[in-house]
Amino acid sequence: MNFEFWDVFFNDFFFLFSGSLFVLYMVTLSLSIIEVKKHIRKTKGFDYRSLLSFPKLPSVSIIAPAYNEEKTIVENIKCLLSLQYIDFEIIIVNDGSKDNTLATIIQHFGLIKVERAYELKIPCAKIRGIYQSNNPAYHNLLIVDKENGGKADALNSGINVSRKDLFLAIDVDCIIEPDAILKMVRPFIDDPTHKVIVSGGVVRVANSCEVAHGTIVKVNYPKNFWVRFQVMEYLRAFTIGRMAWTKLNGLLMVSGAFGLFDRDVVIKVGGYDKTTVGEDLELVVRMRKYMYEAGVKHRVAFIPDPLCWTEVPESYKILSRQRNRWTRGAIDTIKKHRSMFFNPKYGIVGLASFPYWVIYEWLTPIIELIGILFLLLIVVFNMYNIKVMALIILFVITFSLLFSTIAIYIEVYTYYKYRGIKYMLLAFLYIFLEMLIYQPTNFYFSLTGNFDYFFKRNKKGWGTMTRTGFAAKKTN
Amino acid sequence: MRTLKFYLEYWGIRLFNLAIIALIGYGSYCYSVPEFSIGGHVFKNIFYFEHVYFTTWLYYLNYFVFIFLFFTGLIFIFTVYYALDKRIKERIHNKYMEFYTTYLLNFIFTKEFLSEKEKVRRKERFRKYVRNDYSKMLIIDILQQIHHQTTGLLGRATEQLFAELIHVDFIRSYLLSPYYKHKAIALNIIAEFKIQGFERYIIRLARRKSKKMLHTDALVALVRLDTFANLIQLINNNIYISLWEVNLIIDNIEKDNISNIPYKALLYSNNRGMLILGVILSRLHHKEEFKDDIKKYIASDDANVKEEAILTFSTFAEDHTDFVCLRNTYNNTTERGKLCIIETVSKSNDTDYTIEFLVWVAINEPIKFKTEALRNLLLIDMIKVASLKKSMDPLVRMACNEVLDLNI
Repeated sequence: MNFEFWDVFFNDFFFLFSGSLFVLYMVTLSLSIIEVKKHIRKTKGFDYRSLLSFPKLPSVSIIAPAYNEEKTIVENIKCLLSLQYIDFEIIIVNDGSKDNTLATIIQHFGLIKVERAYELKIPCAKIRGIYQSNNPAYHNLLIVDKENGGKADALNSGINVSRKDLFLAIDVDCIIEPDAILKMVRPFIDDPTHKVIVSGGVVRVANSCEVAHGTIVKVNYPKNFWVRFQVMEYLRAFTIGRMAWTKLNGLLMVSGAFGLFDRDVVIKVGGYDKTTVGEDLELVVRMRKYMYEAGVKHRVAFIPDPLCWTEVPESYKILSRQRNRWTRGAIDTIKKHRSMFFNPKYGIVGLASFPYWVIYEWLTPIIELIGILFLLLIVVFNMYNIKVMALIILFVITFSLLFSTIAIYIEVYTYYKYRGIKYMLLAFLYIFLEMLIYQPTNFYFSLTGNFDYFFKRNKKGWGTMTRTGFAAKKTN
Repeated sequence: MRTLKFYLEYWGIRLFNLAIIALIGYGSYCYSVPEFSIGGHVFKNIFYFEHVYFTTWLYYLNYFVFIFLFFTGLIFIFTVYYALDKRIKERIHNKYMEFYTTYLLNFIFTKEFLSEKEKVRRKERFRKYVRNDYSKMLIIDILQQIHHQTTGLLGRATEQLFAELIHVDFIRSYLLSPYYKHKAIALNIIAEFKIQGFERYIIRLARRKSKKMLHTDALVALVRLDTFANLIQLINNNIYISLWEVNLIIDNIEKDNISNIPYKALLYSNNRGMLILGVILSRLHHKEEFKDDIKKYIASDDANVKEEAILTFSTFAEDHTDFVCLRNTYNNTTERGKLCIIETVSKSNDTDYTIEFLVWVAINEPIKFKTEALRNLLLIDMIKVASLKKSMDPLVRMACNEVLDLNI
């Protein structure tokens, strides 16, 4: 086989790959617009507080793992206590913090050690004690003190201790909208034909936002360079990507920072997997696999309303760690559930969502790398046509531009959180910069994630996520 | 006239979309030929020379670039337009709200003390502010909110003001509009102010499967319009009513104090949702006369019907046979049903029977039920709980510790 054969082979391969990616994006775009419009129509003007008088609502446990959070934990718990819902308990899992997280909570909320019975339905690290307050105002607050075991382990402990129908897994430092649970619960009782196993909500970037009494009072467009890129990225991922998969009932990804789960189903599948760094994705995949095998018509719901606000990495170093971990988590999940790949037994998940994750989430950076190497090769051998290359690059740029513009349009048309023409124009400017700076950077992070996964087998951990913390920025 | 305007707008948007697609199609044709004519004028395709450099698909890729740029520009304009429009609407909204809350609320609350002349003067003033659809919708929204939260004189004053300011044709045009959002708004207004005359159309909306989006609004409107009986006959087994809709209907029944509920018809409806509604309403309104009807549903195959039947039957349980009936269904019900049975059987006068059941639950059931059973057992027989504390099963011991820790 000579060089010309490979030239034709790669040309055809990249043409097919890019073509399929383009079609996929177009389909995703159309479906998400339909689904967002449907949701807006369905919920516009509805006062979710009326749910508080509903006679038949599932009960909810909020499970928030905390590790070395002494500076912000009190404010975060206060935010959780102010959530609107009828029957809910808050379980803060102190995952063997080395600082004074536990002591701070005990002191502030007047907690005492109690005897609380629990069954270890899911294996987890040793629980040292459970604390509850005598103060009736905090009757639904429960602190689980356990030995360090990581986020997944902490969530498993919380699930073991909880006694409610559903559980909301959150990052303790997230800011949750007061009516978030009311909105998230709706799919569980609003679908007479499918069993809803998970409900996810949109996570937005909280950096630079003004926070008072545990709620976002003013949404500001971030000042940080890296954060601005992530605003756009989150908008696209949540508004377009996840909504489209929800429409197809093929959603596999619910953010680890914010997801409402059916506790029984989670226990049946064995809880969070402690051996992976992508435990959120892995759990949903496992739950869906289980439901298909059990022959139950089910659904993973997704609410396009911005319900949770989280701090995203502000520096290159932390961003690289986070993306590296995401890549490793995705590969791990794909590897563990490879039997689902193009397997009709798993319906739309087996035939579309899972292959999408394999081909477009995991393999794309690798294919891109091969593409770049191939490009270099044809440049070296002087086999390129500058006009063709320019045209293809232009095509990709203009399509990305359109895609991101639509994401901004949906945001303005629906929730319009980033107010003002100035912010909007800045967002447009960042679409261009994103193509030049952020996308290549992300591509690099994905590659290093792949490299670390396959060649640095000892790299298993999460890495440290340094947060500025809302407490420092709070207006009140 | 307004309905016609809505239809023109509705189809106008669709025609615009079709025109864009046609334009893209025609554009692609023009792009593929060296020359093309429009209205007798011949135009030269200035891009055609690129055919020399590219293969056909690459040449069309170039066309896509133009299309993407065109759409990006178009969407950018729309985005800026919506952002500005929202800002303007927000300003108008704030301005009107200030006026409405100051003057409208004042009028409703002090109406009784105003002279007829003053009332007319004020109403004229309000009319000046409700000239366009947007301001009408704002005032309707406020009146709806006031009406929803008030009863008696205030409620009637709001209804009267609504009738004087908003003509029923306005509501009709929104109900007949092709837009879902308009229909939903109209349905809510009709339900809130009990506007009669639209029942047949609303029933059609409730039954139409293709209008699933409006299903909930239509159902709630029918219930609030007191057309319950018609509703039961018309909602057949094929129409799914979710638990969400059941909850919403109950919520509105409670808020509106609707009393003429056909419980029997609901309890014998062949629609699952209606049946659940009947069972829950019987419980909430203490309709003990339907105890035997509800008892039958304890054996239902549908988990939700069964659970609600248990919950309702538990509130009516009096004699030993009722407790035995509940006890016998314990193993085949939901968690909520089980907790309710534990609570109810604990109230039985037959102490031995109760203790035996509670001990059985404490030993054999998961922790959630163990603690609930032990909590109830503690009130009847503390020694029994103390003896269970010495159980070989660590979970039973744990549950005992929790109950004793919390209650002693």
